[in-house]
Amino acid sequence: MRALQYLRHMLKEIAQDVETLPAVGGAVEDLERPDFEEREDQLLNEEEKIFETIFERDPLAARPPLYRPVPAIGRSENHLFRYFLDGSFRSYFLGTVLENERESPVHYAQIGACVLRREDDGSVRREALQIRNILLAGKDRLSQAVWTKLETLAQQAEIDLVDLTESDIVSGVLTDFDLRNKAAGKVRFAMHKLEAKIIKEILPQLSQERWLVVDGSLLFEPTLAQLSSGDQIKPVVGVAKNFRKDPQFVSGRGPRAERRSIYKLLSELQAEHRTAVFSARDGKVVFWYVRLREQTYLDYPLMGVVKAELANPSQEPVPSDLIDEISRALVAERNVTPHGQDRRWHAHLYPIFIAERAVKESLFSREAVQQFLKWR
Amino acid sequence: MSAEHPVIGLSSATANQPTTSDSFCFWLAPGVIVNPFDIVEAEQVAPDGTSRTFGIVTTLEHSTDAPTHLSNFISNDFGQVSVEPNTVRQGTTVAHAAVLSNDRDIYMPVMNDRPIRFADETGIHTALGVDQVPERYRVPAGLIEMSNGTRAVVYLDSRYILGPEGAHVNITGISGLATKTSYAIFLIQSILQKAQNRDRIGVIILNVKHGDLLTIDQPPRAGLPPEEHELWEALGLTPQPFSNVRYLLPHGKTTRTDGRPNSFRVPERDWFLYAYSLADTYNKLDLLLSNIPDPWDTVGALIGEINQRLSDPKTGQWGPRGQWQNVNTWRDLLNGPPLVDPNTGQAQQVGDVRAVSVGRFRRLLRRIVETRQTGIFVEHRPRDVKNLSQEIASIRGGETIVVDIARLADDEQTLVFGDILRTIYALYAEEGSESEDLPEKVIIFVDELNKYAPAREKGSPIIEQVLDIAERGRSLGVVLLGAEQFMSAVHERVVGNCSTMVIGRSGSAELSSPAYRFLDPAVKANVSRLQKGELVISHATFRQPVKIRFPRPAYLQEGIQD
Repeated sequence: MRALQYLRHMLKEIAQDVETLPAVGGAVEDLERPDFEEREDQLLNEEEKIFETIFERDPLAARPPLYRPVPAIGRSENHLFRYFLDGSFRSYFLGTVLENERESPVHYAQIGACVLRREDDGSVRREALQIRNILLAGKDRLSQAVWTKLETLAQQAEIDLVDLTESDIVSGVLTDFDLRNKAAGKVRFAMHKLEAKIIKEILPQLSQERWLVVDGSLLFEPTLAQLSSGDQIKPVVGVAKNFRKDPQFVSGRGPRAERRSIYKLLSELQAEHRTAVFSARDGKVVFWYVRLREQTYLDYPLMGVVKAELANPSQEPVPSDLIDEISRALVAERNVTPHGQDRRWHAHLYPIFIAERAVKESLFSREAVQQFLKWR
Repeated sequence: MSAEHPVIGLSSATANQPTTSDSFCFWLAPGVIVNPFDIVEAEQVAPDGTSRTFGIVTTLEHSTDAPTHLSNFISNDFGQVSVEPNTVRQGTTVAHAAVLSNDRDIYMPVMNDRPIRFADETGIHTALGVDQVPERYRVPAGLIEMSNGTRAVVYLDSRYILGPEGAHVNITGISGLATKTSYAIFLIQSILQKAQNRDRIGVIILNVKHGDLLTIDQPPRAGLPPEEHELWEALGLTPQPFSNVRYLLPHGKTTRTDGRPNSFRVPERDWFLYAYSLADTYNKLDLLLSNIPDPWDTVGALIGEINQRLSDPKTGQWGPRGQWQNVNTWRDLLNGPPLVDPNTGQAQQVGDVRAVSVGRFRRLLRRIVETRQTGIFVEHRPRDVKNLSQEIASIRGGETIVVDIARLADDEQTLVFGDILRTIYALYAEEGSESEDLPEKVIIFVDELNKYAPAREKGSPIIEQVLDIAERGRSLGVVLLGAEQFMSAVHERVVGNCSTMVIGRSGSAELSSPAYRFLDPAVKANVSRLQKGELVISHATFRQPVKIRFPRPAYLQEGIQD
């Protein structure tokens, strides 16, 4: 609650220098746009749309097949996934500050990331949890004096000040015409940075028998750089429940080459199967798709499929048996599901869902923020 | 947090389930086992420092984050029963506790996230208010055994058992072999060992089934098992049979020839026969005919007439006179004048009672005292056969009288029980009674109380007698210790006057009757699951009923030791 007290003090200080148009009824929670994850996936790999390299090596098969069976292998047989990371945030629009002809929206957000550790009995414990408070405003939309004052106050209050006008890979997807729209992207960017920090901290505890599952893509920097160092594949797998729908996949060569859209690729993907591994960014990252559930039970062919990513420092084709092992462990994660609590339940990994909830439970409630954060 | 007194969970207040002055909830740390009736303490605020709010666990529930059962079905791979979930679904067991007390009289709701611990023995006593009861008034009633192994003696306040603050104990339940009787006898033993002026307490026990209570002065043949000894000692009591016991056994049809009483077993010593001649019964005919429907009070009028005519108006004692002077035996009454016209042999009018009603009275009485009698009604009571009323009236402090009625017919049992109550009531309530050597308190134990004070019956001589004791016994020092299978079958004014209720395992249909409205619904559910030897006790000074165990009585019990 101290962070909110500091923040309230900051708002009062700034309000002495600028005119403010407070949000009606105090802070208003920004709702995350739907499918942001998918748009992020698209953005992070915008140049590549056609994937034609099957980037795995199987000593038993001259040419790896497009689909491979990966029956579930649960924790009691091979407890591969021990750590699960997810981040979450809650952001609030506090109002608009007016300074002469300039104006800037002001947002407050709490971002957090949590790593859960799974014990041998299937129960989970919190391994790490970090929460940050951030204040967002457009630096270019305010005078240097006001911005400096904000910086000073934020530093004193141990609140991160984020410039809404600064471009970054995540918020770049959004128009910067209205900075309010951009705020959500900036908050996600800050959250990904926090996730990257936690991944770095947790890396020493991982091994080829103790993997970390990260929610979403690994293409985000500095995560990818951390995982790309050295020659060995780091035991970190990114699992996205929502992914871009525009790539095309080419299998075979010459006149017999067959091009498939992602819809076709995944509609033919059977339950407990995975696709072949494809490479992105010249092999620095490899990815594949795994179908967790029977299509019979789902409304749409793309439901029940996750996209898995590995950072591949050697940029050499990855061993098929490693991908099989990861995929089999992933299929086993289909039990339990957050059905009824998250519309993406069909592709959501339950420990990731719990990690997200652990973050959410640690954030201030809407009521507390709305009561505390007033300009005057 | 000490190792001996670890935190077992934290209190939890939510929007839908807030904590209140009367209840709170707490979630349990993984691996902790808690059961209904465990007593816990929650950290509570106080003006300086903290206080402790004690609660008794009423229910436990386990919930998960699955919003519907369908979510669980889907989570198990759409109904695969053999699938082991990779991650255990998030869930917690939440215990609901009813507030018992606060050690500093603070009844603020327990705040969220306050540490919860099992109460220790001292805490349990504080929770139940036992610490407020001076030592001299404490009567051990059983042992609380909690899930963590903590034991605590439950003490009743003797002022609420023997008066003057409250009185009477009712024991109910279908708990199986001799549980209710065993508990009643245990409680009497406890009173006799611990109550103040215990040598001035007299006990009357009615043996209604088998020979259970005809050997209470004999130790068990093989002794008590060590664990029972340990229980007795934990309660601060000595396992011993009753001493100073007098047995009153009914005269039977064959007693004249074989000298044996009409009992399931004959005690080794100190037993006496009792029987009813007309002279012993003429003023108790209302009790004898208690179960006879008498809507127009014709039988009642005739009983009054007989009572009046067979009494000496000067002494109020037996003394037939006038045309009744030849009525000395049951046979005289039934077959001779004035009820019967000696010329015609037919019933005739007596006072205002018409001949037809007299005829009905004769038929009823003949059936009871001649046709279907068990031998208790005699024409002339031999010298060695006692008058029950006189024997009861001679009770002394520290003495226990066991009256056997097990083999008597229902009407005979009613007469005997009513006779005992009427005699005791007269001793204590009526002016002019000799009171010098009377015990200060008399405890009367009877099983199958519903026979004598049934619910839904407006009035009968026996009900009136039981109600007199139930309603005035507290101030007189006459304590009724009643037992029955179904409390709902007992007159509500009798149950309502009991300041201590003891409940053994009972069916849910029985527990849904209004007689149990003093129990929380959650407690009722637990009562239906009680094991043999477990009882729930509600006492006037307890805020909530508690579950207890008690030791087996230290006397020879038929069916258990034999």
